[in-house]
Amino acid sequence: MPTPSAQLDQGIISSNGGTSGVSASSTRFRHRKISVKQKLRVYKASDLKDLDQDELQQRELQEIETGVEKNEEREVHLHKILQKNQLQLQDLYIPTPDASRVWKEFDEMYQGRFTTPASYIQFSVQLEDCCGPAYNMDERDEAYLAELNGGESEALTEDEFELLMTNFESAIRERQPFLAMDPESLLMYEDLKPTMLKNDIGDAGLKTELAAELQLGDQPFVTKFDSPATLRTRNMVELIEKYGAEVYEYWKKRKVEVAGGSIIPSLKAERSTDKDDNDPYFCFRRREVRQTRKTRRVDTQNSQKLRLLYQQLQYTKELALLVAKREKMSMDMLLRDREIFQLRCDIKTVKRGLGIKGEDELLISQKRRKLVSNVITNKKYVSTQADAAALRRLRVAKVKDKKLLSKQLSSTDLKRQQSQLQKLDQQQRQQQQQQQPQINGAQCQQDGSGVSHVYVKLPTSKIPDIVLEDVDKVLSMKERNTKRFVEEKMKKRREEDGDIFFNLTDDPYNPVFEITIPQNISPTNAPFSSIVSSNFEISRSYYTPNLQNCITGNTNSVLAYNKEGEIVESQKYKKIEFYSPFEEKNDSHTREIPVRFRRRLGRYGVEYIDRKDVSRNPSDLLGEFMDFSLIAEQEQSSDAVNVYDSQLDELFRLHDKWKYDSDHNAYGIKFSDEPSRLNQISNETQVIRFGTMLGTKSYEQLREATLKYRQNVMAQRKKLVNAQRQQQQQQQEQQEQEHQQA
Amino acid sequence: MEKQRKEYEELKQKLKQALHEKKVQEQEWDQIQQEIFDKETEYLSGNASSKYGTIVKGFDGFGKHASQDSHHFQDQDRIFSLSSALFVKQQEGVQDEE
Repeated sequence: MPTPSAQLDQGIISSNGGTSGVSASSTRFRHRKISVKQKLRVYKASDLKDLDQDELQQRELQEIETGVEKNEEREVHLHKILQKNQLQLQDLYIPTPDASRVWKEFDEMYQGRFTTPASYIQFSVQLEDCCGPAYNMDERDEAYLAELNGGESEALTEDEFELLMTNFESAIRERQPFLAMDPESLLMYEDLKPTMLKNDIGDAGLKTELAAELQLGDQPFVTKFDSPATLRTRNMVELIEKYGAEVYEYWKKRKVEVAGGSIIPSLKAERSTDKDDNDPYFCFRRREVRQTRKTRRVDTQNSQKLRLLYQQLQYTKELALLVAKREKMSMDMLLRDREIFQLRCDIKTVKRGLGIKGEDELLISQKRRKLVSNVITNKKYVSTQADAAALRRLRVAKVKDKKLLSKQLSSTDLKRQQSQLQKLDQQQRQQQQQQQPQINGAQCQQDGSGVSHVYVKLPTSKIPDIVLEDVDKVLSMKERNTKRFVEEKMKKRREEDGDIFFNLTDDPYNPVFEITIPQNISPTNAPFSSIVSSNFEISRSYYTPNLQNCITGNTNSVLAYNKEGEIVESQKYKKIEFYSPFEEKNDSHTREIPVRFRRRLGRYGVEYIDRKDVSRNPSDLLGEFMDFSLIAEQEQSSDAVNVYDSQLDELFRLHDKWKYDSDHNAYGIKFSDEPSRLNQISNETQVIRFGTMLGTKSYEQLREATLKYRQNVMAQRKKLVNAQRQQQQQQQEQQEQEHQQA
Repeated sequence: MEKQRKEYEELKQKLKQALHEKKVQEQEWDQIQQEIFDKETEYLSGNASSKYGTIVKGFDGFGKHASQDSHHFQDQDRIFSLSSALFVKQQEGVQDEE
């Protein structure tokens, strides 16, 4: 037994002195630190026997750790046990429900087939569960319904019955919410009927409202949440008129049975007032949670949240309604399409019968105008698009590279002059630089596809600042990438082809054409520097199995096969043909798309290289522009003609012009017309940037000018002031001098 | 023959009318789609009410904290516009042209 004097202070003792053990809260024992400020009662050994036995026991008892929650210590049986002395323990126990009875249907209900899934079992009430009538039939209803439908031809279906019952329930809930207080006062059918007619069970009212909003008219329609059963149910008004009175009696019977409560079975839940801990059938007991402090701020916050949620739902509703409208319109359009199709069919037969020709414009559908709203619908789709575009561009680049490489290769093979090689190198570099913007563009598109919202409207504030990269760096990187790509592709192709195929198509990886430069033309001013001179036409081509050996100089014999696989026995094909654009050989089978070049010197030594289609014969056209008789007349007359008036000279000039000038640029738009695309910034953006730059610059200039002007003014004013001061000083001095003189 | 001719003219008139009506319908459709698109953009890009979530993103954590990145959305989020096969088709057409 512990010494009570050390544990208890006077406060506890006095409180325990009164009604000990009656109220649990008052018996709660509090440990307190012994403090010098507090008086402690000291019990002597002689006092102990005077102490109330119960009191001591109680104190001791509170010391025992029961292991259950504090408020559960108060449970009647446990409390009793705790209060009693340990000696009497065998008499007391906590009663448990009788578990000896056997439930016969157990095996039926619990068959043990359930296997625990890997994930948690989740459950929530689906939207579909909330649709339709709330009442669900039971066995008794089934019996009743069978009886009701006994002889009738047009039976009340189960769905309709449920609908009616639900309506009864909701009507009575509306009219007599406190029926449970006085079940006798249940309303008569006639009183209940108007409420029932007004009620909207089965979302009929909602639907009519929606139909009105969509201007659907009386067209019946189904929503996704309608179960097929609801489609067959009859109108509520009809049901009430026909079965209302009968079903009312049945419903009333059931209602009285449950003493005015709901006949829809529901889980037993705690009401706010009655709280019965002893009833084990309560579902969801309320937890006693400490209420959070309510402040005005929290209140407004919460109401604001609810308002926002409501707004969200409004928005959604609006959008959904628009979508519904759009779909309705789509349907109308389809119907119209069908009508048009039908009409066209009819017209066609009539027209054929009449033998009318033409007038077809009505019969052909115009292409639908594309809606330009800037969305990418499908990210994947777009990326493939961009990829395709990029690929296409790369392919172009590849082709060019191959041509160049082919030249390069063959030139090395044939041991051309070194200078020519350099020339080609240069050329390659040039062309690759020309390719750069294209490839950049392709890359850009590829990048863009990763960021999905390239074409989405963005508020101006959200347009990201483009980090300007070093041009040289970007260019070199692109060049490297392209080179690698082409090299890899070529290698792969060669591996695939092996020794079996030799490619003679327009896009070969192997060189078959060779441009030879005539002896008297030096490669430094050979005219192909800036003109693509590799548009070849092959009039005939044959398969030659060992062409490569021939090119490399290992063999001189060439076998040519035609497309039937027969060996072509012709002396012409016994050697490789190298095409030279400067030699007009008649037996050549490889020829350039016929063009002619001319190098001419303009003023100040400007060099031009003119290119001309041979196929065009200008002299036929000249007649339209020149009067030949006038020329002849002028030439025949012996008078000297002014240079500017000479018709013959004019003819020469025109002829020359036509011979070599081209009206259009064969390779893309003119360089000068091409919008500059620096750093992939569109022209518009550049304009804006340039504009702002100009603006800031002019502002700075203005500011500078103003500052200068101000400084000037200040300086002038200073000067003026100084001058005035000097004048004053002078005057003073003069005055002083005058004084002194005086 | 004369009767047939008359019937032909009549049918032609009808067809013309139908085509015209179709054109009007198409215009209306485009308009309504644009409206949906714009409204959707407004809705998704976030206004005051989308602070706690939208119907597309869900209302997870409603009432806990305002999500910061509510203004970012992707094209896949455009459930209203994309619910129309016709619209998707049109967009693909636009892509093709580009």
